[in-house]
Amino acid sequence: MTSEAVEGNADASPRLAGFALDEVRAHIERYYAAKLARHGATALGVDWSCTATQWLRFVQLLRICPLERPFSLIDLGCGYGALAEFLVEHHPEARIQYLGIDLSHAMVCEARRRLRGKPSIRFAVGRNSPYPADYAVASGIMNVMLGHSLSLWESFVRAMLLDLNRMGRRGFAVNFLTAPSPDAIPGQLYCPDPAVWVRFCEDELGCSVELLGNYGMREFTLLARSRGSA
Amino acid sequence: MGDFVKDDTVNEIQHQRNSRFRSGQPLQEMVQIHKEFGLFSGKYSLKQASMILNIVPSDLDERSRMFIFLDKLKEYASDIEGMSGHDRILKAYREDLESDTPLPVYHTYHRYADNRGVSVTRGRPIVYESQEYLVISLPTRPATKSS
Repeated sequence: MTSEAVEGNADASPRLAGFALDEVRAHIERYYAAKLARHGATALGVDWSCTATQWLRFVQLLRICPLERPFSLIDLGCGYGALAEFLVEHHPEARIQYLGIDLSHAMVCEARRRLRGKPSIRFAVGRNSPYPADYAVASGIMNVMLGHSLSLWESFVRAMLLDLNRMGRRGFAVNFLTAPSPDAIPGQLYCPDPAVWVRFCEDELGCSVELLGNYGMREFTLLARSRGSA
Repeated sequence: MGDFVKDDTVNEIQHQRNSRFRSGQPLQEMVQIHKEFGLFSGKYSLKQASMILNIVPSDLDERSRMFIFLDKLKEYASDIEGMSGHDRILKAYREDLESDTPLPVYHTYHRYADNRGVSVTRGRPIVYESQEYLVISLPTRPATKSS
């Protein structure tokens, strides 16, 4: 798969099309490019407080995957490749075909630089992949609303979940905030009721959902397994 | 610490450490991080753990000096005979976070002239709180004129 194939997939999900969502994506791309320029390829560069909490999130997301067996994985909103680095460092025995996708060209350039020479790890600029993998994960891509209205943001979240469901043949995992950190600007962060998106994944996507919420952080993780997958 | 970092940096780091180990969600987060990655098991040095937790001075020059100080704690004494200040801090974090009822951790300082080692106690260091804390105190001394 090439990055061009991914970038050329703008019309893969007709329900996601629309000027407003394209604007949201463009805004996100600019926001994270600026973060990367300011903080570099660090947890702060993708809006997380530290490496340790980033790792803790990855542990929850990876519960969707059978790390003892080979599988393919799409990391939507991969940023500078922190999850790929985590897999290399913490799961060196795992046999994973990894594809990281990000809207930000700057992030993908940095990810490619950091993980050069690893043939099972690839990165592409884009909004999704036309080719599914066994699993898809997304960490923190729906947290910062960037001033958009709640209704538009929830349209974006629905679009992202539809994409994740399509890209993860066997299932997908995604995290959300439950409460803003004390230093957050009011109204900037999206902190939904978990039940809303559990219901969406079950009723509209037909998934079997496991809700993880007790891992010490102000957030929850949804593990959405395709019904019928092993 | 005065010879290593500026007074403002001492305050900045104290605030960051106390915030990350305060009761409630922050302490639970630390429990989970240690449980999952053994952050204070000895696998990582204090310097490495600080980097992973992003408990670092905002000023990059000060950051380097803080790391030197954290490594220097390996040469400091502690309230356990034969154990360095560095290892004493790791042990205190580890035992607290692995206990059934972990306490929030309060980080403070004392005069090197009074006690040259790292000390770990329990107490109520915040006068308006009834909360008990694990109190980790590091020896410090004012900067010398040449530093």
